[in-house]
Amino acid sequence: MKRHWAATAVAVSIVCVLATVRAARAEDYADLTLEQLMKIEITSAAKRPESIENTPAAVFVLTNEDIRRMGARSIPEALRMVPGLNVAQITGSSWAISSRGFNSRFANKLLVLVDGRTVYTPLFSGVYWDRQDTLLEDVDRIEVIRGPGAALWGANAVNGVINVITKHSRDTQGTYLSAGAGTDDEIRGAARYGGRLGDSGYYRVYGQAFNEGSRPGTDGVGGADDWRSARAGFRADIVDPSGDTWHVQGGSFSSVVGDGYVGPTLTAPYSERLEVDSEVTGSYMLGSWSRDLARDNKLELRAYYQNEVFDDPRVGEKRSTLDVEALHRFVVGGRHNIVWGVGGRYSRDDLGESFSVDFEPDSDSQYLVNAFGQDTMQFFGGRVEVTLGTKLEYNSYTGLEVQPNLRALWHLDDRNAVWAGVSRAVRTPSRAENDLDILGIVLPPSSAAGLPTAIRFVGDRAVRSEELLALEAGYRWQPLDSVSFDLATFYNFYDRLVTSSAGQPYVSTAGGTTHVVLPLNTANDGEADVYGLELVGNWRPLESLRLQGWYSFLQTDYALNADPNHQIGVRSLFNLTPTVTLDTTARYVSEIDFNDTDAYAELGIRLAWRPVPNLELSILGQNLLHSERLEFKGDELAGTVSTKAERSVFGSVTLKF
Amino acid sequence: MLAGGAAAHSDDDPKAAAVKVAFVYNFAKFTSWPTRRFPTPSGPVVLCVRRNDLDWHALRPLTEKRIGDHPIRVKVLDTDAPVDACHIFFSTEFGSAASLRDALARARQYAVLMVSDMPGFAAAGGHIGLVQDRNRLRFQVNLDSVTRTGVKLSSKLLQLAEIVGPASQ
Repeated sequence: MKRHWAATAVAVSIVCVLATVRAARAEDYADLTLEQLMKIEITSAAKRPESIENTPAAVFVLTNEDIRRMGARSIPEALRMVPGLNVAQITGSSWAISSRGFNSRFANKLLVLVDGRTVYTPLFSGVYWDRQDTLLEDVDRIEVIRGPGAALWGANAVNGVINVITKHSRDTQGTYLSAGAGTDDEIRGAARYGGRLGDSGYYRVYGQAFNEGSRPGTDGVGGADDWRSARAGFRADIVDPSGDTWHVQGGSFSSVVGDGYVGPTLTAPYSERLEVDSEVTGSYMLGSWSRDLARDNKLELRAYYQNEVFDDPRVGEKRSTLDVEALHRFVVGGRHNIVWGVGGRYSRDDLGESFSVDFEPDSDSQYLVNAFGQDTMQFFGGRVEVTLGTKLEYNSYTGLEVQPNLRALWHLDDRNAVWAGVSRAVRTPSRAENDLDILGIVLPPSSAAGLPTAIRFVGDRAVRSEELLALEAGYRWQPLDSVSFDLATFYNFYDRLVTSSAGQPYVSTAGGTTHVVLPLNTANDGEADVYGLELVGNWRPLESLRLQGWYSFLQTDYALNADPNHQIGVRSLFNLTPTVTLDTTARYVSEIDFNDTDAYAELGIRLAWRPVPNLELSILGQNLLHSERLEFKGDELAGTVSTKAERSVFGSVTLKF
Repeated sequence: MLAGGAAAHSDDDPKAAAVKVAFVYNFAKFTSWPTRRFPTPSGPVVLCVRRNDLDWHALRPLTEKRIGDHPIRVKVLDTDAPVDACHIFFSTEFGSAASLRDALARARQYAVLMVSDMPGFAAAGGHIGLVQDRNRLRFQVNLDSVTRTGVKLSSKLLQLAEIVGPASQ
């Protein structure tokens, strides 16, 4: 009897909760718990819901709480739990990260931004992940959009955009201190102080530093990939007397990055194992100003300057970049939400050469100017939303590129939405693809060729942009307030992919020995189709337990594909007691045939205790399922020697006051 | 004018107002006041709102609710009227930084919990600030301020809050 009664009571209360959330009556809201209230969407009368999860694109957001409770100590670690991304750690300080295919250490189809500042390098159109870091405690969220974001963010946002957004200084007031240590010589420390600037301004300053020891090697020798880094920065947000908003931020870092690699030589044994400690330093400054010209009418100007210097026996790079952008958002006729803008970027480099690496010219500058526009139109009372946009970019390598984008979102009802999009995106060539001449490996003399053969990659200024035509569609379903699903599917047609094809071998005596040179010439001869899907499910069975699971599938005919076909991720966030949390992350990555990397499953667990609200003690175990594991085999032609992930423990203390 | 960006104005969205009222009601449920604030064990919990800062229609349903043994009484106050008789006070804006400091000082004296949806409220020393983040509401608690006012917040509330450091004096 009792059980029936309880079941009926549960059923009735579920129905009541469903009913109360649909209706907009005050007394119903007062019956909800705080957790339920915090999930309700509110909008002002004239505006449509702008939450990023409501856009017609494959979007995934990592919140500050997600990042902290995963125990992520770097941005790549946090990105591991994003569906549709392939995140593979090669050495302690190098990563191969891509979205929807084409992964490699030099993956080049992903745009990464930190507070609006682009952090990919034109040297290889990719990201140096060891340089991208900030105080993760002060990161508000990381938004990941898989698929082309070209219309708003421009060329190179071919397969996705990663937007790291830090908290407003108003939300980081007071002092924050953190220290931690872990296995493998890992030591970390960070401090931040936030205060006021007059009546309507806020600021924060922070510093952080860490040391990581080397990981186990894969070629019989221990890894040489220990590294250490120190970073400091500040942010200020001010509202001036006329109501305009000013924002300034800046930072500087310095790292020493260890690396072990195999370098080519022209004499026996034709390769040598080298270990280096490269020095990298960089700094940046970003400022923006915005004004509300009228209600729902906003003008923004933003500019940033960044500078990085990197020194390594193989290659050196000094690069300065200046970027300015103006953006205007406004609403017309109550139904058109328009964003348009213009911008420009100038980047200048000085590249150092070595025995194996040469750039011609060794100093160059690139620039681009762009204009973009996007109109989001509402129909049927906001039920259907259509977005049409394009970006026009003129760059110093390939001239004019046009990237149009058409998307639509249809809210079938309060709990179901479907979206679809078609877009064109391009990836402009990199400095390396244009101007690089690199000696890859040297093949010893064989019976066929009596001389050693040096394989050289040779760039070509005639290289054009890679092109993508992307078809995407998705579905969002929220059957209960505590359960939701998000499905994104895509079919991508790539053309003019940059390829290396063997040219005519010739004999050379450069470098003092006679050898055959086999040039691999750069051209746009590649084509590929990539298709797949990502499915995310969220479930909150109890107020204190949140579960998330996702599955990514990818299939391609691209011969050099270094992406797994299947990936699974599962996370649980459990508030054991009001002061203790227990979180787990688990993932599975299927094998990569191209570079012989095995499939693996991995588990991480974090336990945290807040004896008082200001103090948190935590202990984190990572890579618990294997004592050592190889995640991504290095690119032999580039001489990369991978190191292995190890089972590890990390403990930390954080204090806020 | 203490404002972060656009001038604060009362919500023209009835849903937002109703949800904010529900938050305030929940805050009151998880707050303990010093015993001197309740001369009789079933005395009312007085929820005060500054005139025009929350739609009266949104507040009316609360008058039929209770917090434990205490019925709820809702009072609408004019600008600068004293908050002494209130247990919990909600206002969208304070005329100036000085006006906010005065209100917080009085709140300390009379053990009144101050709640606002003004941007930066908690950072400025306010007790609980309602923050709108991409169309959802969350809240920040300035623990230091709350402790100095003599009011205690349940750990159930603090668990969901974003704890904010003290304002630089």
